[in-house]
Amino acid sequence: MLSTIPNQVRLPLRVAVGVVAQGIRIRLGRSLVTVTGVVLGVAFLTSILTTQTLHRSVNTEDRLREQASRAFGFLTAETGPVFGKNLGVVLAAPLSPMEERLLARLERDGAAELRVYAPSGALPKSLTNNGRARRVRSERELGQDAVAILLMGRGVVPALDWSLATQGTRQRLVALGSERAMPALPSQVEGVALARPLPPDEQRRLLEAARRDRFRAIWIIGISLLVTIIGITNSMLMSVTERFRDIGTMKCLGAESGFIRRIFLIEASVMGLVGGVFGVLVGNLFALTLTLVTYGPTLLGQALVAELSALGLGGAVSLAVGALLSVLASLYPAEFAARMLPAAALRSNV
Amino acid sequence: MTASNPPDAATRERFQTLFRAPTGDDRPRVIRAVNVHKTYTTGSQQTHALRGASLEVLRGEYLSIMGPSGSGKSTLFNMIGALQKPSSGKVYIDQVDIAELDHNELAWLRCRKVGYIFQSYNLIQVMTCLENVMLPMAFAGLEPEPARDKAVSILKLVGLGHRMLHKPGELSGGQQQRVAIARALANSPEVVLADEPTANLDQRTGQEMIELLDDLKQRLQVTVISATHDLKMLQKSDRILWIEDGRIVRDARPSDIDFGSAEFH
Repeated sequence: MLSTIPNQVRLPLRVAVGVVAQGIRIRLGRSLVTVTGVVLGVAFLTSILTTQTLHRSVNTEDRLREQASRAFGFLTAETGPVFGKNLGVVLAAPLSPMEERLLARLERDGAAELRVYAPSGALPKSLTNNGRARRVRSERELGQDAVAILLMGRGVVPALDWSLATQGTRQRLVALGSERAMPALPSQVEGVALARPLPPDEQRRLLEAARRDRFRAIWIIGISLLVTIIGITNSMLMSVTERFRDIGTMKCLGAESGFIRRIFLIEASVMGLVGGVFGVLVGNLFALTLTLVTYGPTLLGQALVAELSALGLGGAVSLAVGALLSVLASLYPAEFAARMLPAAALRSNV
Repeated sequence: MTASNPPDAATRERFQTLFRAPTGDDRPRVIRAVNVHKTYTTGSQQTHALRGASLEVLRGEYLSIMGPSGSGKSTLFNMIGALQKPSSGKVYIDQVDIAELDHNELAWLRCRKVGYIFQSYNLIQVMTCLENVMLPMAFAGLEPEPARDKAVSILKLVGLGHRMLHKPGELSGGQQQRVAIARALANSPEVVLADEPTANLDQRTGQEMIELLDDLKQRLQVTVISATHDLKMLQKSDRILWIEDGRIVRDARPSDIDFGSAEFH
């Protein structure tokens, strides 16, 4: 006799989805509470991811500017203020990013004229843009009334007579922009390196700080996601309790436990996805506004262009996390509903 | 007497002779319960809800079960409806021993063999009447097209052909109970279980409901088992069982009963 009883027909997904859609529509208020939980959790995650991504890009610029600033400090420590002074520049293209910022800094601090000695090729844009660079053809012209001579770039150093070049300068000083070996200088000419690595303990301190930041971010994200999970679980348990009679009735009508479980899991994933989409939007909006206020539109624009794919990936991850969280948080309530005894529906006035 | 003890032969014999279906009737037994015990354990406290109840129900019979609250009536009802398994004893629904089934097979049995009518209707509020009636058909794997046709014809049968697309909340109690009856009949079950189906209805609507059930029983040859204290319903029954303290204590035909006596008032 038992062999004639097949397993209950797998209920079409369509029916389950229909039940879920109706459930969400009718209990919109409670569904919104659950969705809001997901939105907040995902928004928080997204804002942290986006802010970190944008800062990574902005930080590179920040670090370069800081290095340029240090190099500028080393230079002016030798030469005094550069305001209204001339500088000779020996160009061994290409320039490093730090050197480009150093040139910009010299310009901003009011250096009068940059006399660029470059044997061949066009001058880089960063030099010609400011309008204060002038190309010179001889060593004498290069050093005339200059406070010092800067050797910039990581390329081949043009052959020149350093003694002749520094004859007209005030201090007979050759400052090295890139991290490279100082060319052989005559004894009366002093060489100074502007790009110096950070002292080891300073490097260690920075690494330590970065690690602490990363740990704190993970900790905060973890806690916030946990809170989100608990919130969703609570809200889903409410949803199950609210529908106790419906669940029991469906079980009396022949619904398998799996069907009941599926209803709640589908509901959770729908709400997780909807909440995830809004969470990603809200989180990105927040992070972009924050970055805009902190760094201004130019840096933000650069960072956006540079990190577009990373931001997209972050959004996708957040969305997936939202849906996953929601389903994860609903496992227990769904199981709770699935295990409910159908007889509960028979109790009147439930 | 503890529930786990197997019934001795004498006990079994006594119950079977006392409460078997009317003799001389060779209709098949849709429901058969033999010496059913059910014990609930809450903490260290054991409650014996059923202490050896036995009964047989014939196909097409209209059976009423009476009993005070706490008598084990609900528990017996749950067993007959494949909602619970007995602690000991046997319950056969259409010759299938429900104790042998896992929960999915029980769901299968409930879906196809049993129709439920609840005291408070228990319609799914978010679905239309039509969808409510189609739901058990969906559980049985019926395609939406034939399911809709069948649901429409059943709803017409219970007199609700004009309100099929309304939500239960928009209907009166009597109309909701009609939908519930239509839903109970959706998969052409062997037996319809009705738990106080008229308790939430006024007298006139209750009367209509009794007539509808009686009419459906005549027309569809469906077996109806109801728990009720409604006099009119009892009078329509083929047989009335009294349950007290977990045992069936009396089995009588309405014609043998004095409905004017004190126990009915």
